[in-house]
Amino acid sequence: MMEGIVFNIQRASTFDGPGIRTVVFLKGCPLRCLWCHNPEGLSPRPQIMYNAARCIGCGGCAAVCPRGRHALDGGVHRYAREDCTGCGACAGECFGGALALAGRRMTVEAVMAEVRRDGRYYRESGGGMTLSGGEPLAQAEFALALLRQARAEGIGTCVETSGFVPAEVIAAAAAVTGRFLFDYKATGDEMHRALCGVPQAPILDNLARLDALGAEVVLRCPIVPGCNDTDAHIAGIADTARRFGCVIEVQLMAYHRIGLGKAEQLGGAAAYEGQVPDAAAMAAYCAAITARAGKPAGIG
Amino acid sequence: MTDYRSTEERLIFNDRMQRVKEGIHPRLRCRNDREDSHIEQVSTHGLNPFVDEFEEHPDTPYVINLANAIVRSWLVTEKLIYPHEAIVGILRPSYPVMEHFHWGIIPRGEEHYARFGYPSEEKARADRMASRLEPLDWPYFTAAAKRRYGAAQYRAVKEEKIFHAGGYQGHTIPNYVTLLELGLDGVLAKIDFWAEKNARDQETADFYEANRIIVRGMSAYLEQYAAYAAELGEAETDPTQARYYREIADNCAYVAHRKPVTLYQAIQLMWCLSLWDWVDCLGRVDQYLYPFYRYSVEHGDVITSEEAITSLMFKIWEGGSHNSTLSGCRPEDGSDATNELTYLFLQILRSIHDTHPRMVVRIREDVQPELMALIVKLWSEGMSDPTVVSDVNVIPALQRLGVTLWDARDYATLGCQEIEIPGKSNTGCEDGSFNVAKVLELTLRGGLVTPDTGERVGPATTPFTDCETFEALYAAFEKQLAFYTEMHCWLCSRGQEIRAANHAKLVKGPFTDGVLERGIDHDAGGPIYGYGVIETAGVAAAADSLTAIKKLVYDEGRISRETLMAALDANFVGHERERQLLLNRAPKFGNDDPEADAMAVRVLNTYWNEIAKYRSVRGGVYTGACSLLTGGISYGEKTGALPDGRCAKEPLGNTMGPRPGADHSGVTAMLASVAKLPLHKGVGGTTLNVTLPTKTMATPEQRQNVAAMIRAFMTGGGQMAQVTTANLEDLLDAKAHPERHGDLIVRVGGYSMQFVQMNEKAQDEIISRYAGDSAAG
Repeated sequence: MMEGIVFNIQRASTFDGPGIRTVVFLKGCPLRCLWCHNPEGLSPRPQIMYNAARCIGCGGCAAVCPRGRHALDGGVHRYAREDCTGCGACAGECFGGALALAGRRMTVEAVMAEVRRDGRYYRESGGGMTLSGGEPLAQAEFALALLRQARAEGIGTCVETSGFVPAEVIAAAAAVTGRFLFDYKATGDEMHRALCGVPQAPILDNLARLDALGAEVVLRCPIVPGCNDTDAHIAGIADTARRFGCVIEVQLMAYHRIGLGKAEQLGGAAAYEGQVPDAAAMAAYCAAITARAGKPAGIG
Repeated sequence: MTDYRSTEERLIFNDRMQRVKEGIHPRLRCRNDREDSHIEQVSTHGLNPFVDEFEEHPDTPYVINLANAIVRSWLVTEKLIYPHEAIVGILRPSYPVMEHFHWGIIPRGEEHYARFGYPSEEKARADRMASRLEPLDWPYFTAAAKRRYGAAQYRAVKEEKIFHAGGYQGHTIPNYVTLLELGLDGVLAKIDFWAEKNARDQETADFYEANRIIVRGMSAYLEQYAAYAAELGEAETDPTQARYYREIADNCAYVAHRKPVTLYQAIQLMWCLSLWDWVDCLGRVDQYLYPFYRYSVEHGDVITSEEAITSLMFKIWEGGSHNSTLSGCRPEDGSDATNELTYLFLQILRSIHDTHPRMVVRIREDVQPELMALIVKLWSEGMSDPTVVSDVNVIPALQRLGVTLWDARDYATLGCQEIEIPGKSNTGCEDGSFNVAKVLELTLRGGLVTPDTGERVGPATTPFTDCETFEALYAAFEKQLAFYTEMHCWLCSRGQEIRAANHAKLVKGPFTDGVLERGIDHDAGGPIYGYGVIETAGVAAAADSLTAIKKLVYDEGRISRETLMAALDANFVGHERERQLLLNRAPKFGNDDPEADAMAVRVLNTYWNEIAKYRSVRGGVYTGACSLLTGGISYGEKTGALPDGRCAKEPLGNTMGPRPGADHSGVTAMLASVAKLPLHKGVGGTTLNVTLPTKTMATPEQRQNVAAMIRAFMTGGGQMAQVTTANLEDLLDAKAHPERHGDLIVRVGGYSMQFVQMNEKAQDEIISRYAGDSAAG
């Protein structure tokens, strides 16, 4: 039976597509954006997240770890992440939730069982399921299976994507997706490689593909001061929105620091620590983009 | 013309109303706070009309003295008309003896005397007269309880705070339709008609006479105001204000006897009854005022309809009324009763923007989208009113209690959001309250033994440590619950007897269907519907505890009975791992989890089926309710550690929702859990607090989502919801006490997040954003 790696299912979301939605977060992403706010979505494998503040020092983890990576050192918990396979045994014994396993294997049916629960709310509000991540289409087969199943059941579908996926995947997704929340993070290949670690051309090709296929797209643009808050990029957002008829709306997403704490819990390198853009600047960008693109731009 | 349906246009008060509004601010909080309130301005000149009346008439029957004392207290109170007002009449000062007619029992003790500013020389006089003032009093209750259950048992139950019996017993809505259709003289004629028909004995004749005294008193009160306004009008030099006084004089004089024709007249008359009813609850204002509104719109009126309704709302605001109800069904055919007044009331509420007046909107299956939009708009502006209540749930539930379809369609909410039939019921709202979680705590230990004397209280059942199966434990819980429920309902009924003997709500009698027709007092079973209401606390805590025991002890064997009891005995000190296991490895009510929700359904069925075995003195079975506003805190303080991981003394949670912090699966999951409960057995009213982040209501599209969510809940098994938006204080408290705020969701960026799951840095950032919002807005 087909399985995917899911790191969160969030009900009652009203920000990720129309109506009331359940957002399914799939693990794994080909991009390495400096400011990543969901760092637990980067690796395709299950990982242990450790939040020291919630540790009660009970030693339950040390007793079960098959590789001896946990120890109590004078009542203080020590976790050596090297060689951790992400088996999750420690998280199972960590009742306080200091150790948690990000990512679990789920079947399409298991995910759909969760998604179906809010069917009544989707019908009332015009909502449905949104796939997010990570890059949800990186688990292409699983993501497509979810989208097809949802559509077959009359549940609305949205995909939040970086666009950095094979052409045939985006085309297949377009057939079963009501709306794409399509990221646009940098303007120009050089800037894109520097900030996100991958070239931009394939992404724009996919946007053109969606345009040709008559898809509905909301352009989602993180605004990260010190990284992409340049006039050229703001203009680039507007020009992209104008160029592609499939783009119905632009949403600017203000940079925030939530990713920093999560990166720390993953034992990873510190992510980009920048300033949060102020509300006035965000409003000004929205106004500039609306004027130049001839399409509505708002804060997402 | 103003579009009252608009969510964008705000209602702007005209100059006259704006000046009344500005005048109200300094005299608010008039009921409890003597500082800066009009209680400083009105007085009875040191008289105590209650004691005077009883002293002067030692041989007059009690009920006649009482009626005269009530009337006298209103007539000797100084009249007061504020500049620019259109509707007149204010609350009189509160004295303990007067509170007798509010609570039904004279509150005693220095604390009460001080609270109500009772003059010291009057204190001794009132105490001397106590037995004359109230034929039955609290010692009757205590003596009856001790006789039946024994002194030790009664004391232990009180100390353990298992329940509170005898509560308020008496929020009701008078029949404003009768008042407005008949006028005061018409009501007098109605009294005469039934007095003649029911001329059975002197006592009944006295009762009818008392009703006449009350109604004539109201006429006299309005005449006093008419005369006082005319006098002020003569002396007034400002021509506009002089005209206002003349209009007030004419208005009061007209409705002192006659039935009203215009909206202005109708509102003055209903305000008079509302005042005498101690500004209890007003019922379906948009329905019974509508014919008068139509008349005034078509034929003109002294003041505009908007001014008239605004004046009423200001009076309610100043008086601190509990509740009014809007929209719903027409009783005759179930069709949509929403009208222009529904919207106008909401718009005025929106412009007042305060925690009072409280308003409730009934939600139909086919609720108008404009109405839902306006309701959500009010929430988005930071108000927790209006509360919404579901016609889909409530109407059939009332029918199951024996209420006719016509009357069920006419229901309204009152008090702390209880449900009644306006003008036709006294459901004793509320008769008592009961802590289900406390009974579970006792059950685990095999029942209650008094700590000092070691005396057994209630039944001895198998202690948890000796229960080999979960069902054995549940059977013990049922047995304990049955015992305390019987005791509680019996004591609630004794409270009802006191109020019946004291004619505690004499004023409501002439305006409540059944009282005159049967010749039986309002609190003695006169009204058509007399079922009882028991507020229910601790359901989620009890259910979650039982779920944890079933799963972790009996099904999975992850913790032994002995270890669990040791952890509870120690209030989890030294047992943090066990506490975390109980908290996080057993599902909790409020997450749409089948196992946890089924347990909550089972517990609630067990308790509410149990109370339905008993009948109130007024006639009719007891039904459940859950709208305790602070009961979860006070009961929590007396409840020890529980197997759901809750430490001793922590709150049990308020309203019908999950334990604070236990729901972490999103608001739709929480609503789904609550909608599974047998809420139709809690016809007393089961409120649910729903907290949504302010940012989820920021745009019209998002407000539509909230409207859809609440509508889906209201038509899919939910009964009531009070929606509030999260604010900065919540966030600060959540940071300090994460265990209490698992349900607090904040908008992070591209997604929403549970606030308590974020690290400190992230929390601080969110807090700073909210702080920014508050400063800006």
